[in-house]
Amino acid sequence: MPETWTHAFEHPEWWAAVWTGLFAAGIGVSLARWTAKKRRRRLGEATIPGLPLARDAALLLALACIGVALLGPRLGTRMIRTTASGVDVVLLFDVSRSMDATDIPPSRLEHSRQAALDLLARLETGDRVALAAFGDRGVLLTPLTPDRDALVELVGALDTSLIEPAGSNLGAGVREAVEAFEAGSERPRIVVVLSDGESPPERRALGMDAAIAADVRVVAVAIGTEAGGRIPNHGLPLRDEQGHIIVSQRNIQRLERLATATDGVVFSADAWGSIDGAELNIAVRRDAGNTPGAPVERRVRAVRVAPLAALAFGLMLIEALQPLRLRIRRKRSTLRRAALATAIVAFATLGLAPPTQNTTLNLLEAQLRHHPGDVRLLIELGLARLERGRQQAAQRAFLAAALGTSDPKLAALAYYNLGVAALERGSYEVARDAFFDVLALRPGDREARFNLEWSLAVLSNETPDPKSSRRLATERKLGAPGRPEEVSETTETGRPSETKTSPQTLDPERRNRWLARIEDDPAAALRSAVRASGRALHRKRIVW
Amino acid sequence: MTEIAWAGLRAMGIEAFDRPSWILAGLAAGLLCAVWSLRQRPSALGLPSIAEARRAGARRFDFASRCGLGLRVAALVTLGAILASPVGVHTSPPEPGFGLDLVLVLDASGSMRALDTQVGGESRSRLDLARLVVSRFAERRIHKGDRVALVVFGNSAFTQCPLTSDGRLLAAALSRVEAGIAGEATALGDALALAVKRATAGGGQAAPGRVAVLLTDGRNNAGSVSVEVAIALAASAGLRVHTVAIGSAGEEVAMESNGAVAGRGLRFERHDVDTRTLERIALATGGRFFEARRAGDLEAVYHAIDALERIERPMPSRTRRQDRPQPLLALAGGLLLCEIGIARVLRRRMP
Repeated sequence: MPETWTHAFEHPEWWAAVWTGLFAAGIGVSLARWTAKKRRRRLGEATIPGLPLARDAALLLALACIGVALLGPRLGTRMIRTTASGVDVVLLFDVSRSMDATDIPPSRLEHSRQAALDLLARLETGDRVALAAFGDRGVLLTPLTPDRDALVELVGALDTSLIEPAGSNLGAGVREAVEAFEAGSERPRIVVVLSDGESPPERRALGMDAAIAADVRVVAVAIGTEAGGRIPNHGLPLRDEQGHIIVSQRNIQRLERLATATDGVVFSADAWGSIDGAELNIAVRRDAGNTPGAPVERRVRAVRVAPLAALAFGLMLIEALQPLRLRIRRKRSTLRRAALATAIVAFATLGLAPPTQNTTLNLLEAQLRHHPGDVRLLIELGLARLERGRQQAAQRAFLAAALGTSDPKLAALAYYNLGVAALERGSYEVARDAFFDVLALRPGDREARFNLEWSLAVLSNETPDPKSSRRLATERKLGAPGRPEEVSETTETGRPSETKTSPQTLDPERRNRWLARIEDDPAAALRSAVRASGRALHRKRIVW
Repeated sequence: MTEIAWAGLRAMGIEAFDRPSWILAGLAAGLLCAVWSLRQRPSALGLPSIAEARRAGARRFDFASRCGLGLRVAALVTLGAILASPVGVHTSPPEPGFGLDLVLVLDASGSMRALDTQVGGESRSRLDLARLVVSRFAERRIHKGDRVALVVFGNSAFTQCPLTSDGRLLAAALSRVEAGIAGEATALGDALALAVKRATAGGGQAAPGRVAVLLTDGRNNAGSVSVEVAIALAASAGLRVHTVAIGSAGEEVAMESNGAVAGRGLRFERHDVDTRTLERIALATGGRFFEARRAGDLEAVYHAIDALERIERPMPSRTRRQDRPQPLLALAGGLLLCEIGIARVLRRRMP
């Protein structure tokens, strides 16, 4: 498949099979038609009509539609719903010689470093960041990590002699940066390119295909000035082979093309090399969501299979029923036409109906078959059953969830939903017990307290205010109670040593002072990463 | 029948359909196609007698035609199933930070060139063996949802890989570790202190979820941080440190020269591992001390650490729905291709 097409399809690996199949079918049909034509000539063309071309063409077209659908054409965008847990960011540094230019003193690289450090300081706790750089080739310096301190030290150690040979190959850099993202991860992926955009004429590739194929958004930061600046070389300006002083200029158009193609944005440094850090952070965290654990919607490229499958379906049906159409016309049966139209409308209406609740239920049940003890899935299953009015089955799911977890927050959530399901069903004793359990686990839960009081009032033949009770009692809680870190606080993480001695202890302030003194050697880590970067890493394709 | 169909669909990774009514549309279309084709009178050439017709190849049952019809019906039903939006369950990688934060501290001093281990029957250096075993250990832990960092030390210590849940890149970082990469000496205190720094980095786990595994074959003879200070730092940060001593105790061993292969440029040296200090580190931080004198021991040691650092908590949901039309599309394409091959190419057609 041509390289420029790869980003247009989700499954380019099918290209060879599709091409071979279509070619074989085309050759086979042509050969059959040719032999039939010869036979017809032999038997007498006047008495025997030729093979209908339209029917063969319809079948071949249907096969082509299926083939293109198999490649997974990417057209337009669609929204996906995920759980917010932070963004994955790769900081891609341009370490070509032009980044030493002094048009924005002290150097472009220093300003890109400042922009990166500012962004690192602004990112949220759940975000992960990796570091990559490019000169004549791209190098992934670190994997995605939550450890900002390590990255701050590595960013400080970057310089323009890091990657040999010198050069500027943005495309290679983007392709290498994309390798940092984990296959199958749902987190938003962003590559922040910190570059002047300048490149030699033979290095025009931008790595757009790799970024688009991996659903990566590129946010570019253009460093430098349009007027340009000289590049220092041992105290003197750098000169070309003819002895002319080289003046390096910022090329924002290339960065704009890359960012626009990937639904990203370009930030241009001002004459002093400054970037609006807050705006950059907003652009980077656009799809991240505000609350960790909360559902968040995100736009991704859509793969359109259904229209092509529908076209193939229609073509095959028409081809098979072509004689039927002729017969209907001959008989002029209005009744048959009406019946056919009704059938088509009925099928279309049935087919275009929105997904049913049953589908969600089936999916959740299928997921539970894979992970039978998954408490969150059990809660979601309970909620789905409740939506379908199957309160008893929902109660069973909530109870299984409550009994199956050691995490008090999840158990409280499950008991609360159990209580609500019981209330809806009129089982006030069950509801009362469930809300008691919630309050035992979370004494401050006001909704559970209110619902408990309501249940007790009903059980003692009192008449509580029906409006307020309905408002609170039927308000179900969704199964996304918090970040995994919150879950971990209450759980056992290992077996301590049997013979533990008490060492000299440090208070946190002293410890932090000591740790600040501990010196890492980021330059050694960078050298090690650059030396071994020739070995390529190939990942599985990222799927949505 | 339905059970068999579902078993086939599950084998293709399909668990449900978003619009199941389209399957009925596909079945109806297939049925309509079949009924109509069977009712059609095939085109024929008149022959004077049955015997003549038999000689000309006439048969009561036209296998190719029926086979083509069957394939067409199957392709229509499959396309109906594709239009029904088949979905499967996709298992995502563990959410980062779910498990422990694990810092692997690896000695890369000159003594790790000692050729006193065997891997696959071949004489290998201690570092080769350590890389292999630590790499497998890291892979297992990342699969369980842990984040792993790699600190390498010699004269000084440096972070070869910060905390990550990316097994492939961590393995790549491990493969880049060479003896002498950080100098020839052994800065045990620096290494432990840097491990504390990495484990307590922002965004990391709370104290009970921090573990370090320190592997060395020497004794502290370099660096700016004493072992005592490093122990105090680790203990106050709640970092549990398991220590592993490798190598033959006090014996003279062949050393691999810089860049030389085994058998060339060999020299013999004696290196002694300071087990007492390693034991002290482990005891003071709530970890365990292990000794691995032979190649097989090291694998067992890391398995023991693996068992020791179990996480008793429910795995959060890692599954989500994923559109799965590709297997059915391939099937429909294959069926149509077969139909074209049998009914259009191989079968002799008469309009």
